[in-house]
Amino acid sequence: MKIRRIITIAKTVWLEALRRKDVYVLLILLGIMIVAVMSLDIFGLGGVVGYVKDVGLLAAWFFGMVVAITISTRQLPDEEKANTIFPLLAKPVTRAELLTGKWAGATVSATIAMLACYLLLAVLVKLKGGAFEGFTFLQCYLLHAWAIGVICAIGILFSTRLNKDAAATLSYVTAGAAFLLIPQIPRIVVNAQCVQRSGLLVLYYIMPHLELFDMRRRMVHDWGPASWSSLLYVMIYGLVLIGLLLVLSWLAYRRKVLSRADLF
Amino acid sequence: MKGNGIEMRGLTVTYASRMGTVNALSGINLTVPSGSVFGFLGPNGAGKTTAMHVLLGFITPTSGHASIFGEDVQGSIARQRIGYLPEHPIAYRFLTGREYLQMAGSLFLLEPTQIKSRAKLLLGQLDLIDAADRRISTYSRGMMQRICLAHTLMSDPDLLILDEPTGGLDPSGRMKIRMMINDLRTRGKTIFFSSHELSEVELMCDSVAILADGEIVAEGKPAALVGEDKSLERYFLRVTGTEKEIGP
Amino acid sequence: METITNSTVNGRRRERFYGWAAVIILWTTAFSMACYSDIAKHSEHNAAGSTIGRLLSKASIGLSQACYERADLYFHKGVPHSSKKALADSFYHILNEEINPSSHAHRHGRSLAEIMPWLKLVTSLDPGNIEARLNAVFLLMKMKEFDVAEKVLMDARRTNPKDHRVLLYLGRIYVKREKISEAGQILETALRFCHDEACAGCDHCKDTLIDKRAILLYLAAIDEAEGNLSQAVERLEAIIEIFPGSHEIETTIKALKKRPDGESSGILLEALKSHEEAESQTFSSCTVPDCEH
Repeated sequence: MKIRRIITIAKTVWLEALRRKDVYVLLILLGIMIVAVMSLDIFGLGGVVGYVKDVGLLAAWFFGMVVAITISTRQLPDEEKANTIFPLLAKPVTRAELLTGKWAGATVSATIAMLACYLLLAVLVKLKGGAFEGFTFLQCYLLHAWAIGVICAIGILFSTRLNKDAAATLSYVTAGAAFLLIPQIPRIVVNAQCVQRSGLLVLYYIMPHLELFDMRRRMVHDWGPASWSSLLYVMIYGLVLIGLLLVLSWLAYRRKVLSRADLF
Repeated sequence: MKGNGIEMRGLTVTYASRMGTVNALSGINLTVPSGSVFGFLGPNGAGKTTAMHVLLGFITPTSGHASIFGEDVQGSIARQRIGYLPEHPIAYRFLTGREYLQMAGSLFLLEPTQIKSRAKLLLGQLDLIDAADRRISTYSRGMMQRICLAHTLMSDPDLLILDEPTGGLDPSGRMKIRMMINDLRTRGKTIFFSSHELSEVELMCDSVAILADGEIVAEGKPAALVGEDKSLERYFLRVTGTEKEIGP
Repeated sequence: METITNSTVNGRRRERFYGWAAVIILWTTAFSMACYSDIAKHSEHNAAGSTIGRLLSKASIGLSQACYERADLYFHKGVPHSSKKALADSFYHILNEEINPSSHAHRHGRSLAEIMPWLKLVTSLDPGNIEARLNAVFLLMKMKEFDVAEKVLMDARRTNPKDHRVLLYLGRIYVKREKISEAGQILETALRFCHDEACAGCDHCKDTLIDKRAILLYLAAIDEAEGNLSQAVERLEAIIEIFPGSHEIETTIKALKKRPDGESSGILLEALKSHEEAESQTFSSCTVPDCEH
């Protein structure tokens, strides 16, 4: 694998994301949403920013997921549909390089879009008379970026064998379950019966745990930064997960017969 | 250049469809010498694109073997020396013409200075200098075809595989592509192309192969093949059996 | 063949414009009618509600409940109520505990203000939810924001004029701000609306009785401060009727009876104020129902 080829492919993804403007729409929506929330009169009290942080970060997570899934799931199907995949793979570009480049491009695009969201939120919180604690802000963003990497890898995996819409739908379901349902398994499993319990345990251990990347509670409720060692553990877990998903994507894609779209 | 540009030996591609097993290619043997312009002809659905996709490593043959300059087509080394222009090519519409060429250069790991000079040269040769910094989405059909050809030529490949390079172009567009192919021929490049423009093939090719239903039904120099049929078009219709379909 | 002229093109544009205009007008009319009928249907429920509450109609109740739960979550610094869990020794659980703190905690001091937006949303979505307003007032009083608390109570009084709890809180604020005669008047009104004839077994009735005791206690303290000792004794005896065997109250009655009528010391009122102050300093219970702590 040549890093320069991966960067070239990734750069094309960034340029596409930048020029298609869908990220701007989400950013504007986020801004409108936060400003609307900020306009709430809280019994005339000033300096109350927790709820702005809360709503803003929730929206950033939601939009982050939308951007990551939209960008990652359209890469391969769009290339195949437009037949641009053929001149690309006719070059000395391996399918592993193509997948890694597409993943890196989608991840960096969504991460940069999220940075814009975080900065916008920080400015609006400042205007409201509050502030973010520096280290916690950095850690929260870092883990969010990692989560976006995992979500993009999920999107790439599904798009190797499915069309854009199907891949996006499955990615939403998987990421949503990994974020909301899987963390609830320890509660459910207490009352579960034998077979059901085993099924839940399998799900708990094989599904990605996106809740580990979510530091919103620390940010909103001023718990302060997490220890760097636990942050490192979560980042290593994220890297392993991304690696695993990309290897699965490569296994699904390496022998895929590419058909000319205009034939069908 | 030594050796053969392309060699196909007993190349067979079958795939399963709802209608049963389909033989896209049935044991074809073909040799394209280095430095020649080779026309690969056949009616729609004859298997031309499938054969090209095997050469490019997109499809693994069911049986048989294909090589480019002696290298197996499945290895990426072979693709270092290939330039491929697909039928109805489409470039990344969000890039400018220059960015699209720079991207090709980077994928071939060319030096930045080399990329810059090569892109400038190709943009000039294909009459795209004025549109170089415009988004490809604003290009006409002919300009799109030319920027894709320039993209194909960025690495100065030894073998060019062109699928219908002049399809859908106006006469001036065709002329520009033809001139480019002639220029490449004089520089000793091997060109393997498919076209439905038989007069064009007759004019440009050193040899041709005609494919019908996945099999090679004729091969040789155009002049030698034409014989009593007087034109390559008549010969083509006769050997592919399409003459009966269109009537006298 | 049709010759396309500028007027033909303009005519087609006009037709297209009118077509779209008709679609937009019809759709807007249909949407407005649907909204109006829905709002009208639920207007009784949200008679005094906010615009947002009226627009959302029944959904606003569910939303307000969600906001109320959010307020509770904010009071606990984002940590949800713990429930029985398995897999506590799993890698994911241990790592999650590190990233997301889960120890029980409460907000204190000025940071209590962070709960307010959610309570404000509850009151906007469900103006009938008097508990949310009282919780807001309680927190505002803890933050010594008496002006704001008074405003909230005035607003609550407009929508719930006969609720004794609103009047009790208003009285307490007046006492805090040394507006003793206003406090007396408002607490008298509160006493009139505090109906305790219902059963004493249910939680609601128990709460009403506790409220009545508080009203009487404040009124007795005010009477004592104004030198009206016999009236104060009557109030305290009424408390004994509701909660027999209260040693402290009985002692106070005895002490008051020993003093000549007309003698004012304000000692009872001060004791009440300092008791509230101490309660406010050591307060660590939750402001919303269902809290296990």
